[in-house]
Amino acid sequence: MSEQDGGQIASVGVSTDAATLADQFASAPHKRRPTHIVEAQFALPFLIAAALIHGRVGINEVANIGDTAVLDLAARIEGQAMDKTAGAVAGITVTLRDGRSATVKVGKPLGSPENRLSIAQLQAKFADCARNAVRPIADDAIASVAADILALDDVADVGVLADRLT
Amino acid sequence: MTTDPAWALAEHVCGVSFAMLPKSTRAATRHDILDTFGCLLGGSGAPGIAELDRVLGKWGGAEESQVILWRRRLPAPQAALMNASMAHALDFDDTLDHGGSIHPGASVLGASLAVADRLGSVSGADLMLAVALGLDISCRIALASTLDRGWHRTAAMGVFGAAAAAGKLLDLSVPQMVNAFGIAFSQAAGNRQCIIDGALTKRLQAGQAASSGVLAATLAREGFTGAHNIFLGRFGFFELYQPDGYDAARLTDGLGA
Repeated sequence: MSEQDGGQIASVGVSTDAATLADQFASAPHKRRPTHIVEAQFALPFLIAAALIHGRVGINEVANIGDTAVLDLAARIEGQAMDKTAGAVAGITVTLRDGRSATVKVGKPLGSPENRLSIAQLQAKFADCARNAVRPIADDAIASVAADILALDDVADVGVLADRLT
Repeated sequence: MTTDPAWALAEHVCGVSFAMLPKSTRAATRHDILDTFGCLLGGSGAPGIAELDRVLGKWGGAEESQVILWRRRLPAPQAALMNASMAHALDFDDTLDHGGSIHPGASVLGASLAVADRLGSVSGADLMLAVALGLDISCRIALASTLDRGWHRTAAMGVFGAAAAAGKLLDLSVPQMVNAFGIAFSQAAGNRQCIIDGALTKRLQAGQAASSGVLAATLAREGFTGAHNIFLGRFGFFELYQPDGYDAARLTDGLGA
């Protein structure tokens, strides 16, 4: 998914359980407009808006709490009581201004024991995190450390992990 | 010796060897370490980490263990604090969602990396073993704590996993491991008001658990004692931290199976 213009989106409905609705949608303005990164990490409307605008929720998307396109869309996201008949834990319906609409329901969230990240997904997450480190890390060092960890049984001295990053 | 489950947990941690780890456990441990180490790198520049580095760097001390990416060596407890705080800063790290709600990896890996670096020449297999056991201890305590009382379980319960991992690397005896758990109990802390208030203490608490785990194991090896009736004592963990909200049997259900 590429960068989207939030203005094309007429409405976003999030269906979820009562506890999440109360926590995230009832009366918590910082869930739509977080004032701090720690609030943003736990702000469902903000994070969903970031996903819809940017196509991903990575380190930068969570940290950019001043992203006006995301904030504008987050302000318009509505919470709804979940239809439990489909066995989903949450669902999102996006309707565009031209009338098109799409619904995605999540039953087994990615990363859960029933829907594990693949090795390739773990490596991609590792690399994405490493590229956002406090100082630049060379791509070959990132790959080497990941490879070392995935073959950790055979590593003679784990000091190599930190050494590769210096 | 008492009947407190802390003893069974200590015997388990001290008695398990790398060869005893099932293939699936080894794979899960490698993946958890990869994920947690990645989160550590990604969180190395997150808000609050530079402030921690300034304070801890100014204090200094024995250059035992590396602070990853910060080109600084600190006493092992302080390095563990930094590394675990980084690993939890993004809140991208591993999560036991069902029934336990804890991020076990940050404190366990943070403590393990610091102790391994202090010891030197620790193999990948030994690190994996310590981490696997530490994760198991943290998750067991979280699962046994059946009522949400607002603890930041990553910290208040993760400290025991950090102590287990550090103690395993330090090759503690069973009585020493029980003491390490007892010393960890005395330091068990961390709450989720920081989430409500958007405070940086959430990441610090994970670091504190790692640091406290290293201190607990290190002190225990020197002969320092902690409480022994850690979970079921009159002022034990469950009575004090989880009144009317625990299932002690879950601490040891299927232990080692």
